[in-house]
Amino acid sequence: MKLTAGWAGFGSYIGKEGLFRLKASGTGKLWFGAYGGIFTREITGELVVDTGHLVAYEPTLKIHMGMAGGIFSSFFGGEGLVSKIRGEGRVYLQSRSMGGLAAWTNAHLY
Amino acid sequence: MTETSFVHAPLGKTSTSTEGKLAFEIFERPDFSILGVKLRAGEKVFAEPGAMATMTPGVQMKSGFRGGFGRSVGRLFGGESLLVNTFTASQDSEVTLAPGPAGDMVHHRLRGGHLMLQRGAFVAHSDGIDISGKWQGAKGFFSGQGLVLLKASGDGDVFFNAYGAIMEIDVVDGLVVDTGYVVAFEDTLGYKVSVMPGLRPGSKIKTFLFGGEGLVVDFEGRGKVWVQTRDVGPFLRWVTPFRPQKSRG
Amino acid sequence: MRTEILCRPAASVARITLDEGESITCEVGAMIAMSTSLGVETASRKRGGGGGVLKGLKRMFAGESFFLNHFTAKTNNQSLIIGPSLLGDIVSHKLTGGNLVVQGSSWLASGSDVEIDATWQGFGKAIFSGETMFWVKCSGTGDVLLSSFGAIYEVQVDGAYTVDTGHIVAFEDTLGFSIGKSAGSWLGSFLGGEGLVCKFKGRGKLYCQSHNPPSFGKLLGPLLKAR
Repeated sequence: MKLTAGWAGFGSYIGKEGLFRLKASGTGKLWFGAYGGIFTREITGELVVDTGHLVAYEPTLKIHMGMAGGIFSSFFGGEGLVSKIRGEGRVYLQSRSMGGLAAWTNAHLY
Repeated sequence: MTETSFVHAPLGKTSTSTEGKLAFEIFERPDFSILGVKLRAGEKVFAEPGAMATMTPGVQMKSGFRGGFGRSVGRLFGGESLLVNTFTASQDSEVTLAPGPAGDMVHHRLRGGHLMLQRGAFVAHSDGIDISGKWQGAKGFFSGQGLVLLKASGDGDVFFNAYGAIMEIDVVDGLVVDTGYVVAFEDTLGYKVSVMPGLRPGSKIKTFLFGGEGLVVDFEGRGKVWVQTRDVGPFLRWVTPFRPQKSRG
Repeated sequence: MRTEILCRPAASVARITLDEGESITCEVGAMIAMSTSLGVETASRKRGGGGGVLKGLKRMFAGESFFLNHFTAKTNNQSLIIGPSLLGDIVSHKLTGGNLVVQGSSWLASGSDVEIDATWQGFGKAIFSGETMFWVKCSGTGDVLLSSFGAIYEVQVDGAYTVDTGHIVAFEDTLGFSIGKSAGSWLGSFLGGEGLVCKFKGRGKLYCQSHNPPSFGKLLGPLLKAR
């Protein structure tokens, strides 16, 4: 199995998830860790995903940054920026996000 | 507590219920429970801002006016009601909703009764449910109220989450619960918040709505209480040494 | 006194059942729910006989003193449910005269006849400055309830065993120990760990946890509001 780090583009930086994505290719088992339980969705078209819940995706899919409900509601809706995933393939998601944990924790601090 | 029985919410990776108004699944139980709702055209689900993890095309999300998950809790006091994001489907769709902390989630079907929920426990509700949440404001809290309660009424589904596991306790003989660990309870129970002397000395960390501060709820009568097995207060005390420090000057 | 561990393995709590006159000492903030006939007091010194001396309680840890609560049953069959701050499991260790050294944030509760000494400095002041770790020595007879971050596993050391310091929950002090840097210590610091390992030698029981609290704290802490 080969692991290559790729530049994920500025879109990812704005999403605060970090600038680098690791690409794994070849055969064999890959273990990846996440915060939360890992579940999958098969995409045939489009799926909107809160970026903090995205773990991995097949390279047949393309990611675009978008706003959850339009500019106004995204700013106030608490969803922040989301990723729109388009194409056909499997996406791996986690049922929690570090951002969600931080927001929940911060909501109790003043 | 001889007759107060404790039941851990049933284990199993996924649960659903034929009792639900909405078609739903709670999966990744019990530690990272996430709610998946399958909506048909015209159906809606109302959720805590920030909870959306995924949504398929055909769902339109609208946020409550002045909504926002990260605002300081202090500004919630003052008689405001609960602000939610509304998800409306125009075709068969799926929305998955996840809370912030790691823990379990419970579905409760209301049929005309009432369910009291701590503010932070609310995840989502279906049509037919009214949530009222008028709390007394900062004064009420500092005078020892400790609980910030929502009241869910009507006919439909309520989904609530916890930090940690959820224990369902059938109260028969009275029960004392630290305010931070109360998730929800049936309104057939009488409740009173008080400071339990000797439980904890004062803390230097400024927080709201947390456990371990000596505030307890005394339940009496009969009914169910849902208790979580972790709380944000003790977690905050643990994580505080790792927080950034404000620089002076 | 009866102890049951419930809601395992990730958000475990301990349910203690006490009869009239029986008591238990817990870390402050651990009480989740209880019966209506339990008295509670904050401890610096235990009342009544039976040992259970508490030392070093004025010790400051991250700006907070190490405070304890004593719960005493006023009638029979009183229940007390307690839990720790972090997600993970709970295990009960039976002390029968030896000593158990417990990582501060893993000490949850102990029976009323167990002596608690929070001044233990066996690892040396220089290494664990007290900001994120301190140690409690438990002696005497009775149960000690230990909590873990993540899963807890028990190792019967017979010879030698090395573990990252952040993963230590508790150990019997029949074991000798020495602290050293791990082989890839630069990696340890990069990942947020201390980069320090503890080499245990001899025979004794060692409890370890699958996750590392200081590593997690360093990951989440910077995302939180400043203090």
